[in-house]
Amino acid sequence: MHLKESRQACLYMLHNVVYDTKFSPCGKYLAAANKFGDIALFSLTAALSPDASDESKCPIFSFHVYDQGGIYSLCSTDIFLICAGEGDIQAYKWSDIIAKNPKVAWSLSIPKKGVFSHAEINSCVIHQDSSSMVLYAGAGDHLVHSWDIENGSYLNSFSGHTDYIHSIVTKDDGKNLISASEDGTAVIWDVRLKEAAQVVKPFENEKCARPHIGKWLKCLTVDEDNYWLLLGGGPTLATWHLKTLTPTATYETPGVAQHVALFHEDKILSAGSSNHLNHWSIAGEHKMAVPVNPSSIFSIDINHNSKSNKVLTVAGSSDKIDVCSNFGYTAFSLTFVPPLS
Amino acid sequence: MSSPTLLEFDRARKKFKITLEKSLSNNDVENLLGYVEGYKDEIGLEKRTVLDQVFRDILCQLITNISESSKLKTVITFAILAVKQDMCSPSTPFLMMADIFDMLTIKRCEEIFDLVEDNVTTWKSEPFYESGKNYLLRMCNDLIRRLSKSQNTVFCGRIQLFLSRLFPLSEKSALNLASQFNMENVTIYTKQKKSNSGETNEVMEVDDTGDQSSAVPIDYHLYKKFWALQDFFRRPTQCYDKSQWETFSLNASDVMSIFSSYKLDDLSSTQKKVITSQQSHQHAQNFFAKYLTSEKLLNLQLNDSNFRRYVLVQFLIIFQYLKATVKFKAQTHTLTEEQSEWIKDAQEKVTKLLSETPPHGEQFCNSVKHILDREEHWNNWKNDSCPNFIKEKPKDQLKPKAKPKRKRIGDDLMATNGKSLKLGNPELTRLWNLNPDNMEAAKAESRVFLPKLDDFFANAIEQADPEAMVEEQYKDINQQNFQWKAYRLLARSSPHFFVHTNTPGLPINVHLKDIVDKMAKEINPHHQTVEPKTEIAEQKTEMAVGDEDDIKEDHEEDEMRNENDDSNVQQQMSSSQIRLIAENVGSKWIALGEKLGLPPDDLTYFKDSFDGATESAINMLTVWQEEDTERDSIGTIKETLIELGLGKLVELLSSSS
Repeated sequence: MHLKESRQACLYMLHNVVYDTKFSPCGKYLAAANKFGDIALFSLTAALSPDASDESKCPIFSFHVYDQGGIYSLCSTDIFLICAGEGDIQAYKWSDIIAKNPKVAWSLSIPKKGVFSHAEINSCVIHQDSSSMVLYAGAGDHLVHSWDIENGSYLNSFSGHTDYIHSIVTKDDGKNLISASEDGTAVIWDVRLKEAAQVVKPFENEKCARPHIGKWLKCLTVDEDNYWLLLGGGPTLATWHLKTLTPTATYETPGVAQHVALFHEDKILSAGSSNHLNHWSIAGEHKMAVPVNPSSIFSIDINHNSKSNKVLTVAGSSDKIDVCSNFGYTAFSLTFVPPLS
Repeated sequence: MSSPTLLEFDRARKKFKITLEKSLSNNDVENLLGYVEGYKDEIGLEKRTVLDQVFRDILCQLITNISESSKLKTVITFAILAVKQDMCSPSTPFLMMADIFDMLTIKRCEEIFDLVEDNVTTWKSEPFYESGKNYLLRMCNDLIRRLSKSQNTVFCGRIQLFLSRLFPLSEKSALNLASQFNMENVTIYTKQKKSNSGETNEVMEVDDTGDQSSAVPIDYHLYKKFWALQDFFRRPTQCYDKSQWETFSLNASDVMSIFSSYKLDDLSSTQKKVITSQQSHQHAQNFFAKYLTSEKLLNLQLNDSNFRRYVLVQFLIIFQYLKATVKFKAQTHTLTEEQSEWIKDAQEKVTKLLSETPPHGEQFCNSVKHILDREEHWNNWKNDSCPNFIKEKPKDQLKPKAKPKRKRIGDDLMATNGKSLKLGNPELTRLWNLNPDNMEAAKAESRVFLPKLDDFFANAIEQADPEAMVEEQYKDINQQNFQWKAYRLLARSSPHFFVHTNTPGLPINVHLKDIVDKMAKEINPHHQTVEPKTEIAEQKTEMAVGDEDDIKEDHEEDEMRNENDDSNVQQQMSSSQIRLIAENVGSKWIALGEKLGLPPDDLTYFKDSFDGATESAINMLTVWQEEDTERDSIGTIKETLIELGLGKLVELLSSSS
């Protein structure tokens, strides 16, 4: 038992990759999903307390979701934490997880095309309004699938991409859906018509194209007012004006692909295949490069759920998840590996 | 005895008071001073005491009246003027001011303090300084004690500045001689938060009542490290302790890395102009005497470029202290090599951070560097046990030099009425003063270098005599040198030179031979009578003639040298000459002194200090001569004497030398 634990600790320390993190609805906990199919729960309150010890920066609880692969995406509702990755979509109640007794509340699987097709889900989002709650999942079979999770029925799929889908977001109160794919295109879907409304191809735009890195798009974010679209990946990260679909500002990171970005106040935070968190002005001026622990970053998130725990987390290929209380520097790191006793 | 005095005193006091009040309302101090001056009483009362008392009485009335700040100033001004007229004791204005500043509120004190500042020159002058400096110091110290260092910083600064202006630069009483630290400047911060019950078993709790006290997440880790540094800044000697050093260097590195990670925006460059101007206004305002250490502020403080600057400058200060040699450091207070290395690195890092911190980081950083350089000078100054700033001249320079200032050539000429001219170099002066008349000098016998025809050709004539049996090649006339000189001489002074113009083309030596022959005939028609000479003798002569030029030159030089020596001797009067002059000048010595350009004061001095004209004259002449050793004293004296109509004396003087 001890041997197994130490082996796992070693594995985590050397090979851990955190693909996604989500804050609990109460804002006190952080769930992190890694490539081993585990979900680890950290207590932010304990880690931020004045008398925080090393132990309080370790997971208070972790559980196994997938045996065959990693969890690539998490999404959260008030009640559920939904995991998606190499396997069926599984939902756990937050309350169960916090009580250290996770049970699968429900699960969904994408329609199989053949016996051997096990399409992974790279990104999932939930759109919730007064009448319905829809889950969209961008999958490895080049499709975006959707479910009504009120009753668990499969709604439809959006087809058009020619390669797997990296990320999806909804906009305009769920009227539109945007997906970014390995094929280099970002497609804006009309949800009601269930067809592609517009297609953006940053790899064809001279401002953004970086053929030596690739044309794939991973970074996809829409601002609150649904005015700007952030697209990045192989091509340079840029804000696209959603009305005209032209890039207005680019965020130059020579040789570094940006995986994730978010709008924060009047700034844009982005991170990718380097161990820096970049701060930009909307106009494209580089403000700061905050050094962080993960060498490649897959998730940055701000805890808006709790004011007293409003921190920024930066996670990626490291056993550590950096926590920034002031977004300009890493205050401390949460770690998967318990301190050596 | 006492009752009439008291009565008189009271009477005078009343009268003075009324006058003072009147003067105050008219702002007419003359009235008061005139009145006091003219006041007569029956018993010869000490008027100063009365006026002192009256001033204080008036003050008592004014001080309670809040609206009378300007009146207070006026009454002090009156007192100052009264002191200047010696009508009240010098301490009165100081006592009055001390009373004022004791009584008034801080706000009003600040209003009135400019009176103290404006009069700083008065306080520094006599009789105020001696009697008032202690009053002023006490008054200022009392005032500072009342002030809050964080609230009344400007006023505190004003008082300090005033004191530094009042006391001389060498006043060391306010100096931190032993380089002590201000240990009272403790920065208090939350070291341990009140234990949060329930946190230990938080997993089971999903309560909403949780930690709502802090509205924002706080990096307590940083918070503690950050403020722990302040204690090192307060007492830098802690750093020499090994374990403390560990803490310090660790905390400092962490803070520096955070600063370097978290770059600040240059607001002034991005924001609009209006805001910039507003900021610059704020910039002048923002000052904190003490850090605010609430944990909730930390995030905001990290965003504040000024705050960052304070901390970075503190770093630089402590680094400088740790590295510097300070006289009062203990023996153990030395850095290891590793520590010095670390400090060097950290110093560079902090400097870089400082220049990166907007706005105008580079400029700010340079100013700080400059200030710290200065600090090093002060430190060195203290290490040298605070030498005086006023540099004393070395002892030997204290004596006035013979030639204290550079004179212009004309000055001397003017001073001696054109009799003597100094050219700045003794040799030049001597040459210039050889003879007052240059033409005369040029005509002098010593300057005739042209030999006489006969002398020059004497040898040649001898040689031309066949009896002399001089071989052709040894004859002077065959020497080129001789030929050239001969021609020059002939051209100037012999008629023979022009004789043969009709038969040109004769070789020089042949021509010369002719001339020599002619001359020989002219000079000595019976040249047969010339005694035959031995060959040796002739050769000698020849050699002598061959070297004639050199010899001539040598001779001239010798002459010059002799002249030199002569004039060197003659330039200065010997004591016997002085005596000679003095004795013969007699009562005219004063006129002589005047002519020599001595100031009347000196003449009076000589007259008074010595008995008799001769003694005075001797002393005067000696002093005059020593006054300027380079002057041609004799020449000047001679001319002066001639001017005075004492030509005989000049002759006497010349013969004596």
